[in-house]
Amino acid sequence: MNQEDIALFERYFLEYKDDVYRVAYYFTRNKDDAEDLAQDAFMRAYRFFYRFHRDSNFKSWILRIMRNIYLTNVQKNKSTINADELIQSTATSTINVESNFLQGIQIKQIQKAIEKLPEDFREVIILCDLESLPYEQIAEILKIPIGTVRSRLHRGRLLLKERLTVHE
Amino acid sequence: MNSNIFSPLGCCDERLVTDFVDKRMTKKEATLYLRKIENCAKVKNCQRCKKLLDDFTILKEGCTSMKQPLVMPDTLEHKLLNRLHEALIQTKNK
Ligand SMILES: [Zn+2]
Repeated sequence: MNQEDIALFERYFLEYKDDVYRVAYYFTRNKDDAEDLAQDAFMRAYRFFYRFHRDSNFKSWILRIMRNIYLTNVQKNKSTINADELIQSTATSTINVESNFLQGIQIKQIQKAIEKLPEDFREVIILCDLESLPYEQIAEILKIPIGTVRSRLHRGRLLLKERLTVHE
Repeated sequence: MNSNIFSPLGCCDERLVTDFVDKRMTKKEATLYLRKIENCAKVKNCQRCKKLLDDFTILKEGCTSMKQPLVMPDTLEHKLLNRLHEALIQTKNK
């Protein structure tokens, strides 16, 4: 890599490091694993930076790299599943609504329900509803058509709704 | 765009529901969709689509409120920056 590329990579790093770390945290559910994952993602991105098309979106590109590392780790069963840390940090907030859906349900219960979603649904909910990324960018990160992003979101939300509805 | 734009799609069609909840509709489209739903309740006595929109909107708000102000820890940032700077020095010495 030449000096210009390194300087450009550093600019991208400083711009997106917090986004990458935060998504790593949502994926792994704990801070130690999030650090490892974010570090692996930046190191791999650095190694393959020559493949990055300069007119495309760096954030989508590195999130895609990170998501692939994460999935490989999950498959190898290396990732420790620990929802407690994530849950503790926002455990006290409650939602007040008229509907019996989500009535009196705490944020931590939504978090738990998201944790239990199948990975395909969990990742689109994280990217769309927690990270507020547009469908186009999610499609780029996951390498799936926008229609698939939409239907995974819809089915994921239906599952969450079912699991969070208070049946009287 | 005419007011029939949504007619081929059912009231609870995932394309309409998600685009509405995720604010991907224009103001005009959203207004038309809401009108379609209102009509659905009046004519077909369907409450399903209205409930779906309300619940998904609440759910999305719940998720958004979960977003945490997380930043990369300084130790990790410095570690990664140091590696970049080492690489930079290496290329300069080449
Ligand atoms: Zn309806």
